[in-house]
Amino acid sequence: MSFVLEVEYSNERSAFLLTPLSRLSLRRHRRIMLDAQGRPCRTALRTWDGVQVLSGALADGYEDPDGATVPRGWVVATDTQGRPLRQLPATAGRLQRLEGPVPFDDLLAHAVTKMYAVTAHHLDPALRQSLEQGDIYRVAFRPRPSISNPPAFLLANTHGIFLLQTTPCRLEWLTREQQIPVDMTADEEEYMPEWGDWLADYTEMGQEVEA
Amino acid sequence: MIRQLRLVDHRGRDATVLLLPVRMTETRQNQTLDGHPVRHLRRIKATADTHPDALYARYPDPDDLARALIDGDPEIDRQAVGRATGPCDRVYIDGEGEVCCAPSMTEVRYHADGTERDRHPVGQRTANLVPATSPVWSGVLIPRREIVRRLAFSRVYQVAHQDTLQFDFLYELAQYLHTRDAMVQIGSGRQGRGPLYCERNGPAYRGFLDGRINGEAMRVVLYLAAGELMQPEARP
Repeated sequence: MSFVLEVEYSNERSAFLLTPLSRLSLRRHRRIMLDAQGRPCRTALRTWDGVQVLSGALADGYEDPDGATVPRGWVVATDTQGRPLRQLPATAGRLQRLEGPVPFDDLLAHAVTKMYAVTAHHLDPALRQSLEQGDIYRVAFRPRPSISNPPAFLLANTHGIFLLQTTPCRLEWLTREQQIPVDMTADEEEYMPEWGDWLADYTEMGQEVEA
Repeated sequence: MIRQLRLVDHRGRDATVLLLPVRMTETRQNQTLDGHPVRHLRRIKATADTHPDALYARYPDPDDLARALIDGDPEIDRQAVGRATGPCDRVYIDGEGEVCCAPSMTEVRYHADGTERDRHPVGQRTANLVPATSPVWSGVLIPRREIVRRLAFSRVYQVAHQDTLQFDFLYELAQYLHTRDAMVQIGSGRQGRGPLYCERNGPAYRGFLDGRINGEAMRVVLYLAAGELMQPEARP
């Protein structure tokens, strides 16, 4: 599935078609699990009482403290103080302003979550020249409406132009006497990428995997 | 759990240091429009026995399947449908629909046009962040400005010390990299450039170490790249 991104740079517009890059498309190999007879295995979930559920056979929902189902349309996301988070619109069809060039250290302070190969429908010559010189730009990119706004970076190398969707990282200066901050050791969410990678492998296999 | 990394520096000394997670995560809650808290849960729509694939296998003839659907509702497991899943284990299901306890991992390679080239079994790959023997200093230094446009770093860890000896080790390494404005490749194998596996049978990464100093403070960061930035058709 491809996405469209329109950006403005120095009052000139450029339009890009974004094609997701996956491990399969880049490396052209994938891993599969085979049973004793050499047939491909499927992934499934097994509940505590032994019921096996194949991917695609789960429904997400919400319930209140009394156990009553709450329709999805009635649910809003909030921050930890209970303030509703604003839903940001998708960037498709909306002109986005390029920020930058940004220092490459800015990109190094983020972890890449998705990569897109960029095909330029219309590319401002000044922007092309800037990218070819090694400049990196920051731009908002949300394929779908979202309450989060992870930054994306536009850059070019000898193979073409790419957009990297990222998530910010918290890098700190450490001193000799410094103890490791407790909150840095207790971030359980960090281990999500392990599952993310695991899931990515099997998603590439054409299997839908429930997170 | 904190990960560890056995690291070697430009002088051939090695130490096992900590890898701290640095991804910033957003903490969110859900509530109803009138402010009541709600919780997310997953409900079962169908079990493996009532999944369409299982029904097709049980009733190969479409007429038989249609008749069975009308007469007996085999697509509905009344005990399970609509129930919250609760905690689950991930399992593999074999061709018979049973749990496969010991599947064999196979790697399938493809041609550029998407057709299968070959497949071969893959052995168990253990995590190799802390090898039994000292790793090798690769000596491969790549300017930061260049590498950020070549590779996509999907995992980032801050390398931290456990004691002052390790701090001195990391500080000197950071100073070495800082003065050269470059990252050094780290990895497995005789040349120190082999793939890194963070988990058993996990994906392979290319590892690069970045180091900066700021007065008496230092920052050493491990970047792991899962892929190179290139067009799919550009790969030979």
